[in-house]
Amino acid sequence: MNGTTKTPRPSDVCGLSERATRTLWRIAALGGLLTAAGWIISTERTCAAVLVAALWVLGIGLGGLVFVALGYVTKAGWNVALRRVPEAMAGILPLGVLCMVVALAGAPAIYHWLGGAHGDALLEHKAPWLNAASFFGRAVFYLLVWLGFSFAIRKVSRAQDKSGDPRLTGRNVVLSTLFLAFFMITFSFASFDWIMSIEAHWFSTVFGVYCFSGLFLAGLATITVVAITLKRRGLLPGLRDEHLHDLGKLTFGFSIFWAYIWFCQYMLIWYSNMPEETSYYATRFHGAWGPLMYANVVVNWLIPFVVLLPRPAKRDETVMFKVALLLLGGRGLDLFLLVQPGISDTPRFGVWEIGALAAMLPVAVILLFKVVQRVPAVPSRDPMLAESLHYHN
Amino acid sequence: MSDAVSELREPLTARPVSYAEITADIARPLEGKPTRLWYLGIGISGTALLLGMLAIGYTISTGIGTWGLNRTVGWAFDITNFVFWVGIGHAGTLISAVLFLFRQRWRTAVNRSAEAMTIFAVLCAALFPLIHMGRPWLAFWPMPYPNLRGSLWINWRSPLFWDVIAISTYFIISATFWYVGLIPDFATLRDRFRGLKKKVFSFLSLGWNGSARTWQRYEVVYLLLAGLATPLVFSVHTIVSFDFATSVIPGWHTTIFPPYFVAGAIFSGLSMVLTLMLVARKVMRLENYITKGHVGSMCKLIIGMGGIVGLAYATEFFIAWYSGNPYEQFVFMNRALGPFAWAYWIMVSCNVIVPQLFWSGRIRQNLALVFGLSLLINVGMWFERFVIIVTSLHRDFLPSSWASYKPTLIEVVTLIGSFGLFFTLFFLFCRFLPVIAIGEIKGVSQWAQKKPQEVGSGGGGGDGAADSTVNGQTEEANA
Repeated sequence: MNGTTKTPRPSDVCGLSERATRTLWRIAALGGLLTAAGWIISTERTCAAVLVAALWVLGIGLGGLVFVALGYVTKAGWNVALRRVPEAMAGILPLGVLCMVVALAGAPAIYHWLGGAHGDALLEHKAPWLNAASFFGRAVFYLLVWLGFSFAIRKVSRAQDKSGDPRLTGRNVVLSTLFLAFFMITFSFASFDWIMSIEAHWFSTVFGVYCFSGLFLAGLATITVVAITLKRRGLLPGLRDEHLHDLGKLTFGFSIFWAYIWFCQYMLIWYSNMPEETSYYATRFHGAWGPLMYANVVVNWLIPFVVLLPRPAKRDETVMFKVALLLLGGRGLDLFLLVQPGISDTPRFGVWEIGALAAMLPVAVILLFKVVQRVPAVPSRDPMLAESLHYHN
Repeated sequence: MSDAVSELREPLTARPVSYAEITADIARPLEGKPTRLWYLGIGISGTALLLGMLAIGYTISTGIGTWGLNRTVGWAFDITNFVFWVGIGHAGTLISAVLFLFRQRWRTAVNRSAEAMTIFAVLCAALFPLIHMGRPWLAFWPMPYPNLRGSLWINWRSPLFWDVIAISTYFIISATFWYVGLIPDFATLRDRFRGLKKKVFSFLSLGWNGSARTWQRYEVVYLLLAGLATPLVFSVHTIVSFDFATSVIPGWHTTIFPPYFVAGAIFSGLSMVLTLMLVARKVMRLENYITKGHVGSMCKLIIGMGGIVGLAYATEFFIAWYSGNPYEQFVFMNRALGPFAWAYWIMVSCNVIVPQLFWSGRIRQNLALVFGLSLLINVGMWFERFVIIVTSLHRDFLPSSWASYKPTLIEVVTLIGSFGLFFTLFFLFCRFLPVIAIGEIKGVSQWAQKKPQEVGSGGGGGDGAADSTVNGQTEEANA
């Protein structure tokens, strides 16, 4: 025994059965074709749909990476046994980046300021920031540096499987600290660029925090869903009720945090009632968008809050799985409401929107399960592993 | 908490100590005569408190005209002090409740004094709105209750009213949390003392008998209170930020204010806890319990919080430009270049640049330097509130009503008096109550914690041992 791999890996035991994988590939191919067709037939709609899907996939990678980095920075011990799941999410960051590249290729259809100010005084004022060269330049810079950190942190974690050197933990602490400091700033500005500037007249200082809260909440939900799926197939032996309990507490807490930021932004704009700010919510609470706005808060906050409040619920695999799935749906809805009302007067969810999601999400699922199984399911020589295997809440 | 403690973790006491030693060390300040240093400390702070009371007495008997406020700058020194003290009060609950929920066991050395500090800081904060009302004997008016004052009723839509509710709730829960945490220690002291002290501690310990059942109930209550206190950490400063952000004053109305104020409050509270714990460490000779590791952890938290605060400054500045709103832009340029630019740059250098020094491990280990830097952050956070409040007001929409603001002697002495109140209470606390949670620190003493080998798993380095445990877990799960 060399202590590196111990997980049984016959081809029939895997997170995703071969049949499911084939079906997902087919869906993705169909989605890809639809998106390509939509790009020609209904450019604006398809590009917006692609942006929603791309932000979702990118968020899986970033959410995983932030979770791993936070664990290192806070010297957490509990999360080590399940850390390979968020590491795998960080591992599909290249796919997220690819999706974002596709989405940004459609930028002229979404970001109207890219076509020039056309006498709009506000857009002329913003032109030093909102112009094609700096917009794409910033995007390339952010995406490349995030990718670099994701590769580096995962590489060190894998190296520790082989050498068992406790100093590697220290190296990842340093890398994670640098990543979080960089991420905090860049993600905030990326949210301004990629989402807020769709409605280029509107502004809100808390916007970056709001986007982060949604990203991290969805990250936790993804970790929960993947970890439970793997555990059910016997591929994540270290996962215990205690881990679910802690994931549940974090999910509960960040669901409240998301709602807190949502409320702060909404309440301050409602209270001050200034037209330059209320336009955002005026669009979103009128017509068919209104029910979706209420549903967003119900799905992302009210239901998780009520369901996860009792202790037994957080330790129950079935309950946690369902809540996490619900939150993944909530993530889609939240992104939809961030992007679409700036482009369309009424909610549209048809063939182009489904096509874009179908093109990207199945690939993310397939790759996620592939990446998670390529490495040992537990970082068996991490010096914190014993804590993770023996702690109790 | 974990049955096994990783070898990567530093021990939480500087040298191994027995349970008896812990009790003796922490009870010592309560037993003997106070040191000369203590008399000096309470002498200075008591004098400051008396001066402050004189200033407050003069203000109340004469009126708020004794302050430097004018028609344009209607809020200045008093509200700055109010927000400053409320902010200081945040780290206590953060350390005792939030870090408790996150199972950060190093908090045991500092949570008690941080909680005490919270309560004293909230008292200092409450002072300022009270005297700003001008007629403090009518201070019960903001309370909503059926009364005989005709149609005079509180304004439910005013954040000032929400403040009254939020801060009084926070005070009650923090004080309860503090008291509940003290109960086992009161029992320990009851068992040590004789005479009057025994009677007092006996009463305060609520019949604690140390049985497993008592401890279990205690832990449930403590956990529930921690869970209840955590949202309050957010709500209090969120609502303080609403006092400003719900208005349409440029520089005040911005959506990032709630999380930014909370982060700033935690930031300032942490630096005040750091200042005080370095003092308590020396004066009360607690070097063994408040180690360099604790100081390092506090410094790291300060870097994180300082980073968030710095990002908020940058975001506000950026969006002021991005929004294209000329009034917003003016306010921010006026902050950085106007007559109060000196205050702005003190704020930026103390809050954004100074914490960056903590990235260096060598600086974190140099306690004298850490002490100096923590004082600078305290100063910076006071100026942050001053900058937000005064610079946003003093040049308003009509240039004809632009005005400046200068604090009067009375206002300065009132601020000194609030520091006097704070430190007098803190010194009394150090003298009459255990400054470290005796029961909790026993749980993290070195020999109460097991190494990974002792629980049957290798963890790092042990070939194969971890695997067998991992497989053991699987079998257990499958069974």
